[in-house]
Amino acid sequence: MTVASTPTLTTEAVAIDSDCVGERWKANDEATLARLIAIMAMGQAAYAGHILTTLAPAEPKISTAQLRAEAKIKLTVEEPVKKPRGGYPRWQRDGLIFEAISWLAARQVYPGVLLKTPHVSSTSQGLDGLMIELKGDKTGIARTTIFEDKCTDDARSMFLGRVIPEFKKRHANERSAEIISTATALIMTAGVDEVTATQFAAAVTDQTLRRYRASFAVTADSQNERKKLFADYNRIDNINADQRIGASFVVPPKMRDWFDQLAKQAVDYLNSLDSGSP
Amino acid sequence: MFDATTAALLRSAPAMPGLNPASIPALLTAQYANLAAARLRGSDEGLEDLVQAWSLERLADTYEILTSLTSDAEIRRPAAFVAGTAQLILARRQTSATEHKPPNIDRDRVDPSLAAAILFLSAEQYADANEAALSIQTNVEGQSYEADILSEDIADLARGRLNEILARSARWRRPIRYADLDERALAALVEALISGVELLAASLLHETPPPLVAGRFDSARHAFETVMNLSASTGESYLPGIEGAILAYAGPHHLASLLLSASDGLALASLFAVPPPIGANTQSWNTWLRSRAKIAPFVWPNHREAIAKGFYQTGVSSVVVLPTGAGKTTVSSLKIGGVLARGKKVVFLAPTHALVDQLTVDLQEMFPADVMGSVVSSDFDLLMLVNAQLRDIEVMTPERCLAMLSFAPEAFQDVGLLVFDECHLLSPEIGRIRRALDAMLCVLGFNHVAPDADMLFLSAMLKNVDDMSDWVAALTGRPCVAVDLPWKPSRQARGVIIYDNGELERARQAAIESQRKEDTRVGTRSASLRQVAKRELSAVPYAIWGLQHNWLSGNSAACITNPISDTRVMLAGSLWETASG
Repeated sequence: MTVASTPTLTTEAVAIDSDCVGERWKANDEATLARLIAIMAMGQAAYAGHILTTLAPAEPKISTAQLRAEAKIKLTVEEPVKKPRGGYPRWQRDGLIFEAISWLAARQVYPGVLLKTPHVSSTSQGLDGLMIELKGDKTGIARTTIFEDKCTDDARSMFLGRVIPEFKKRHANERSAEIISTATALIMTAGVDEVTATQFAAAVTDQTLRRYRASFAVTADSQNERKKLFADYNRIDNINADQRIGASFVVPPKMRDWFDQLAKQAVDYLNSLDSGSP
Repeated sequence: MFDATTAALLRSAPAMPGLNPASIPALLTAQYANLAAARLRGSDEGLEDLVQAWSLERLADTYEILTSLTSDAEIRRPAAFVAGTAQLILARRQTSATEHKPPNIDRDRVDPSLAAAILFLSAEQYADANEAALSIQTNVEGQSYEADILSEDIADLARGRLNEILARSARWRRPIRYADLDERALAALVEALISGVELLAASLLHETPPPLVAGRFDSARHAFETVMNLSASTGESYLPGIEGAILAYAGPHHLASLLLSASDGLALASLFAVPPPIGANTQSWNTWLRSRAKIAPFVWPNHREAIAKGFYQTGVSSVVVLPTGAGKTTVSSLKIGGVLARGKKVVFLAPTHALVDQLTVDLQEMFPADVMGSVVSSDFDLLMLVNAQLRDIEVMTPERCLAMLSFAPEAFQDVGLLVFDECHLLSPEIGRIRRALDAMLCVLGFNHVAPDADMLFLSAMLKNVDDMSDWVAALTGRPCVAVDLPWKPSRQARGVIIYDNGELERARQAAIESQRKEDTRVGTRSASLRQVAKRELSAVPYAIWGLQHNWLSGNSAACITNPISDTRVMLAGSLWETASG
């Protein structure tokens, strides 16, 4: 007999309005969440280390301790940034943690999807995520979803001023170098048959298979607040309501403090590994 | 916008939902016309819907993804060409200078300008690649040093400037300490791609690999494959306990995939893939190829067709018909190079003194004295000098050649090739009987004094290529190859300005009425058009664009019409001549 453990995040469908559908995420187990975020930061560092070791074998080997130090820097706020770097500006650090949570939520809501693990973005511009859902028999793409993940104190302005314009560009199929590169990497990693490559390419730019998901860290948890936040989603026109997703990650009122303590738990976890290793 | 061969390449692209590839040439031309003029109007509805559903952006994105995903050359070549062409048309749009330009290459992106140049190399369309390279802004504020270098390398690769890549290889590497592991990994991946491009350049030039790259990768392909394999990975080994993660440096991954496909095509297009003709000194042939490869390292697909037919083989004459700009002189240089490498001389005929001068300069560039020891001259005149010798390549008019053949036939004994540029001059149909006769006597006289020499006839407008080729074979008693290739390197949409006939008629009637009124008011009848009447003569100009290489598709015209101006333009001309009665 197996006992179903409580998932780290609760993810559920919620109502918003007739223009879009909603998702509500909440952290159940902060310690586990922090540990997963730490593993993701560590994983990116280990991956970078592997690339460097392969391409520059003559360079000194990168130790596990170095990788952990690198991961810890990703989870630390440093303003202004010093040289050598000890952390990142808050928007980048919290942005990474929120993208990690968004990634975990997506994996939970849509099992089996293709989605790149987040990394620290050098700019606030560009694509936050492209999720590809394959058909059951993996012969084609069932749906694609464009993510905008924002961790901000003014979600409404961000939604109207940045997210909607970005989605509009994608919806008009303006050229997107990020989508091309990301889609190609995801599809190739999934191991696509040559024969179906054409259908895959066409599906990535097919608006009938396209959805948009805007997600925010929010402190107010009610349908009315969600309605206010995601009003005007219908500016992305000519699609159905279920192609517009408004996702809310509910955090305690002092949002930045909450991210700080979550990051601290993640760093503590990495430190505990440090002390355990020779 | 596309010649028949190019249109056929586009039509061979894979179909997409709602997009029959047969319509791609027309779709791209319509999109281009759409940009060139104000907007589409009066086109057939099917095409309008298609333009709506398949914007240039979507065409470019979709076919670029497909090019990256597939390793089947039959799919990749046309797909790359559709993507590249769509981007090239888009690049003609004014880009808004207000938006901050993102890096050409970073972890998650490859700039479309860079991609387009590589896509054209994959499609083996080198003239387009050259044009696409002009849109590459190599140094972008905020991008890494390695991204600068790779941008410069790709621009040079697309423009065939392989020596530049090798020269840069020797000087660009310097230690940079990036603080973050991610940044270092990205820089290492881009450096590996640069190494691949350097190895590709060295291999295409038959040079030894650059010292800083040699030993690290076996070949360009090896470098690109290494980057592809490293830059996208399932996350199992890096993310213990987290299922289904994918880690990627998607920008370098995509770039590696595109470069891999381009390098496959380039290997086939290498000038060094052309073997020396029979009897040629291999060393001097290779020396010449090496010097040519510095300037034009890629053999265009149309020239490769001619090569495959053996047009440049010793003992074979040929009639080569290529459109203007499709590289007649370049293709003839292969035949000339082979003849020189056999120690024989070449007589090159061109119909006018201006062309003789131009060709002399061109041939001096193609056959520099310090490479094969060859001298190109257009000064051959036995009337002035006793015992004058023909130089290695003598350029002259058919008339001068005819005169020399009569005065000093012995000077032509070691000539191995007669090249006749603009050979349609031989035809009396162009109406210059005297020139046609002299040209024909020149060919016959040359064949008489140098019966073992090959002949190469060039033209852009000869119609009966096969007849001519049969005749040359009969004349020389040896094979003659007919080469007729319609492919063009240039992409020009053809449009004609037209006016609405009803609008013209209304303007004319209004002008006549104004003229009569003014005549009545003034009390005299003016013979010329009065100002008041002139002002009535205006109309909106339209353009009619051909969507195919020929205007007619069966019995119907394949064209679209759009207004090229929102305002009316004043018309000139006579009012009365066209009036009835």
